[in-house]
Amino acid sequence: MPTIVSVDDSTVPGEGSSRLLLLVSSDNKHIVVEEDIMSRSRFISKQVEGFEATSQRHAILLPFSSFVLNKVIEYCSHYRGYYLLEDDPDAAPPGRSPVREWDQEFLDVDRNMLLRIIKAAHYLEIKSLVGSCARAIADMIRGKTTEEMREILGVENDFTPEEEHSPSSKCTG
Amino acid sequence: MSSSCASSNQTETSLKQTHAAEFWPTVTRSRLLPFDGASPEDDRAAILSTRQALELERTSIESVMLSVATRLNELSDTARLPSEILAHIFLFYVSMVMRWDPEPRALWMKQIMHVCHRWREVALGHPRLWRTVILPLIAEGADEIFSRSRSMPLILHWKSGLEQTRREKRNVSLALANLTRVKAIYFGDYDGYKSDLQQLMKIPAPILVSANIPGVPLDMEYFRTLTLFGGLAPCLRNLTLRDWGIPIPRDPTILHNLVFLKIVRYDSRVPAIHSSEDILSVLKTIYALERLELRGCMTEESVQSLDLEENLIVALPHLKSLRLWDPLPQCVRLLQHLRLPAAGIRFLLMCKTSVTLSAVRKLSPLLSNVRGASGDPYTYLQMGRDNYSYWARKSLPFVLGANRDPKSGWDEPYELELALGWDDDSGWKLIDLMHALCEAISVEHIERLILDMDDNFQQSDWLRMFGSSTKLQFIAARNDAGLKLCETLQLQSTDGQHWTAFDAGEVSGDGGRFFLPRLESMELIGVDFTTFYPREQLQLHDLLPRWLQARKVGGAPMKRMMIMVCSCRLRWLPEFEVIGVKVDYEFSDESFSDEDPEEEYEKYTNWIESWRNTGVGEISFF
Repeated sequence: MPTIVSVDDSTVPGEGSSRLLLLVSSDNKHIVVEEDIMSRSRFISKQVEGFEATSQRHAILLPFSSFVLNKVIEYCSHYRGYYLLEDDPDAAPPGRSPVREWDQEFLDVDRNMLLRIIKAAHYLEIKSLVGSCARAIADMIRGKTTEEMREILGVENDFTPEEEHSPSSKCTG
Repeated sequence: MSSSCASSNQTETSLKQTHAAEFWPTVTRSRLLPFDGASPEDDRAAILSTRQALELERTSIESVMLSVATRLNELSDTARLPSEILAHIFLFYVSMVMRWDPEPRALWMKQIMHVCHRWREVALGHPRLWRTVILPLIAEGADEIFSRSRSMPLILHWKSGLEQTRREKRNVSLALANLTRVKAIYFGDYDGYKSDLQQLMKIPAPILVSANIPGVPLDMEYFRTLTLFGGLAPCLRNLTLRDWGIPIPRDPTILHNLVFLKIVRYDSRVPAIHSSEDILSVLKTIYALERLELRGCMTEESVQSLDLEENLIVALPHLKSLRLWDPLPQCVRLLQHLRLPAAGIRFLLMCKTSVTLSAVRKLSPLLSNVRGASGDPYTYLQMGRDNYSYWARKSLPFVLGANRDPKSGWDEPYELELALGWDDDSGWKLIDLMHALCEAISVEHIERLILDMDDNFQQSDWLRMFGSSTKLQFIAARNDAGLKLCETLQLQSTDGQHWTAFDAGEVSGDGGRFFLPRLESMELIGVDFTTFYPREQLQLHDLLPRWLQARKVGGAPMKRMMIMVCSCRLRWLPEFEVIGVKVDYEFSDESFSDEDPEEEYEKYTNWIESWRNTGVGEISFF
């Protein structure tokens, strides 16, 4: 859970004006963003509901860097006001439809950044972004050997030879 | 080196004294060499001891290495992903595998499970990854799959070889025992699993939602005594009966909840045995039906031979999509007895073999019959197995966004659209036929033209047929030759300014580059993205949105769009303000994801519903 600190009303306007949110990244950067942009995040939406219940607005501290946060904000800004199926709480699991073209370019980042974005999206509960990142990662390992998968995603082989050929790996289907 | 030489000399001396050495001097020499004076037994013990020490050392190093690997994994970004994200990635990964290719699927899952402990744990612990089972060719461990999927509803794909091995038979038995957990079932080729299918017919399927089953291997006599799924499939919504040369099941307990029924015949060996009356008697038990497709399954017996009650009327109040691909007389007969107040567009397709001049002459009365029966504003007719289409409409409110002014609507009294095309075996005969058709519908009324042509058909033929059409405003071409012809026709018969819609069709590569510049002069408000194309054919699809965004309309980037879309085109929707949606409502195996077609269909319909709530101008289905 993020820490919530009280903020000055002059920094974050309340009712009656353009509603803004103050997000604080793990590297202590303060980022002001329109509430509407971040409404795609269920986590933020729940926080905002909390503000409305208590009539007090706060800064929201988030456990990832400003660099990652800015990427997420860029994503949310791009899709501001649009219905994305994946963000529908009742949406079905991933299908075969291709990655949105814009997402493809947006996620053309190095592996570590991609992993950070997906974790941030997961934390913020932005299903569409989690889905796009997951698809991008799945695409990275598609058709690769186990050894290549390890190399691509920086995973070490921690199996003993016996475990590697254990019956539990007898997977089919 | 020197010590070994010295010992060798000593040995040679001693060997001379032995009988064996004299007898086989060269052969035995090396066998009798003492090892530093030790006996062979001492030597073996030393080696064993050293080996044990080294093995111990290796185990210890491996253990350290594994410990290091585990620690490194704990620190890596990938391994620290939450399990649900990792599972999400695996789901995408698995969904990329072709459904009917079980071996790669097995291989891919195996690779995932061999990456590291964590991945294996996550994969094994996520039942959704194991819910799709391809039978009976799974390599091994079918029982493990069923247990890994836990209580998840299963999706079974049945693909059989000619002969089943003992292992495959066991897998089939296992699957049949799990039928109570099956949510969707798809049978592929039908050779070799007659007994499976006949067993399957007896077993209740309490949560089955979608079934796609072939009738070919079933014995008619055997089937007469049975109902589908033992008469108990209360959740069944989508039923496809393929190559169904046997009576259609009429058990109301199976049929009454269906929203989608498709009876199709692809295999010419299967007789078309269903009369219009048979179909009507089935339909009258399916009140909730929303989509119906009949394809090549009705008999070609003459209308006179049918003993249909003239006043037999079957109302399908919820039917939204009707596709008939059958001989014209049967289609007519069926339509005359149907009342379909909810259907947006009729889709009538006649078998190629039945397309004759006399059939063409029947089209006009048929149109009025259809409209009269339904009160619908427009009707879509398509002749032939593939592309022989013809449609007419009166006061059509919404087609491709073409000519549609959201404020004023349509004002033309009567418009026609003709879609033509042919395949190799009908080719030239069809040209004459189309001429007759054009005469029948008065070519001068044609405003929208879809071209799907082959090399045999020359521009002169098109011009002969359509050159006199002064109202032609829309041309959608589906190959490069067609596009070039479009341009010719445009010059001769239309004013490019009036082209208002564009069917992206199967245009790829050069076609896109050829056509895009010509769009500049059009008041384009609609794009048809309904067809799924492989990635390599998507050039035009990739180009169009960029082009549309770059284009200025009234000083602002063009954002208002009418979009015809199927699920694969969802990715562009965020780019535009959608003023109308036309959805390909076809539900088939290929339209949706590998993992769960039925769920994806739900997702799809939810998506459509979401548009209904946003005040989008029009939503229609075909």
